[in-house]
Amino acid sequence: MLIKTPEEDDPMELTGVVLPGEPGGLERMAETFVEEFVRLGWQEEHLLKLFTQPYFLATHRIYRQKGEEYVRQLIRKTQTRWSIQPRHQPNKE
Amino acid sequence: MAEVYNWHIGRKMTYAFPEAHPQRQFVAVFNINRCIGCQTCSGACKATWTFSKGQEYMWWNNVETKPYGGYPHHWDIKTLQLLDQAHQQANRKAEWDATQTNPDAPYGVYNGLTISEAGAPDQQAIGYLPEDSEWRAPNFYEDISTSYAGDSLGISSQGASLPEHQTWFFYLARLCNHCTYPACAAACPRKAIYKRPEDGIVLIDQSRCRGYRKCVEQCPYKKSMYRGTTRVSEKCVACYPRVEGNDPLSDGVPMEARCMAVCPGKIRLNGLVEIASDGSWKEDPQNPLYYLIRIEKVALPLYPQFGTEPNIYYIPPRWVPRPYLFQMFGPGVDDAIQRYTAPSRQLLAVLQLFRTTQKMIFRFEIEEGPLVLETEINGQPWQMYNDTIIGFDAMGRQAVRLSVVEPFHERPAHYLNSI
Repeated sequence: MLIKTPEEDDPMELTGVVLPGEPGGLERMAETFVEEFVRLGWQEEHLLKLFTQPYFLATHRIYRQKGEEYVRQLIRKTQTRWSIQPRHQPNKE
Repeated sequence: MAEVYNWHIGRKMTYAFPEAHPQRQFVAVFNINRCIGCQTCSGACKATWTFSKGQEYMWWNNVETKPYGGYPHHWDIKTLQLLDQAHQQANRKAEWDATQTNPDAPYGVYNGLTISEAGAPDQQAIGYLPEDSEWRAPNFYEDISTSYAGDSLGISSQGASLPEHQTWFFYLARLCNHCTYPACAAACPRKAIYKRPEDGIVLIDQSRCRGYRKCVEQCPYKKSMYRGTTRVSEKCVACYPRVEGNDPLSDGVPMEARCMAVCPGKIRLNGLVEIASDGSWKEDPQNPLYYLIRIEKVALPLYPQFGTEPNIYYIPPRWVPRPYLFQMFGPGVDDAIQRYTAPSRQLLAVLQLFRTTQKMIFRFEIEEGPLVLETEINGQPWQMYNDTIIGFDAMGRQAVRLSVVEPFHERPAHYLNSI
């Protein structure tokens, strides 16, 4: 937590500027991540956690900007395209 | 200066020492498309090798967010800038001729200057010494947020609240490239850095090193680091006890490095490839690394134009603009992404091997299975077969056996943190 007001010449302060995006860039990134993990056998609820958790900045940014419905629809669409059979096998222990 | 052949740039180049190659080379492939920047690799390395006094700032393995992150800050931009200045002074252009491809020059010929060719007469290579502040906060400018209120642990459930870049980005995991022509070894005035003949791992002899930091200055990837408490430099050792098969877990066969073995995203495959006396890779199509790098060419070296022939290869991210990837991975990018996006039947099976065993896989075999999916990729028909791939360890024993359509196992909650 920030307890001191940063001084203007502090070399460790953020000095970068926000770069503008390009149309479709975020969607292409989202599609790749979802496809990679669907192909590894991840199911919707597990994969959604990758987006809802703020600790995964890439996927969480997509979640915040595009919304949960977009992510769910993308997962379902990708599953339809890639899933062969139900892969999820909860351990019996 | 001697003349050596560098197959990454498809031509001979100048280097401090004449050609002398190891019998085998430590090599890895990282699939950037799957990396979520969880930093488990960084933590595993830190906990194994750099937890002592004087090593606080060291991340032999780090994951940085491209295009804006870097450890040390802006390491690649600074080296590219130096290289650009050298080209301008020499009135040269850093151009690739991708039409001249052949088995010894799979990406074509780089007609620009490498870092050793661009060096001044009294330098082994161009380079710079990062300031102390540049080593602080790995991935500064991206993951470090200073202005949101957290909970009692300082963690915010809302995530970062700083302004965010709206452009594309990806996570680049990095460690020492254990280069074929290491700039650090060329730079050392004490000849304290050497490349092991048995596996090509580059090490710093701690007893010979006197901490002149020439290796820190001239490694273009900035993977040599100075330790103030011992006054000598250190670097990634490729977890050599594991590679030697001396780890109690290894059963006498080479194992993957720690950073490779812990990856939850299954982005890494690590092993050894056979090297001929002239430095070329011995033909070994059943070695998964040889197959990915030399046959399918889906994995590419990081900044091949630097001219050190690095041995960590990357499957480039599919969503990133090609000019940026071209600069970072060379002219093989278009073909690599095309082959990765619509993988051949054999490639799909080999991609399954990533992170399935701690043992290094020296050979694979594929047993054909049934057709299970017909779909389209980029408007072209594509078929998936449920083939079985078997990986064999250094003794020729089966180390792993799995199919393309593999069940997904969930660890029970009460075993969540057990090994």
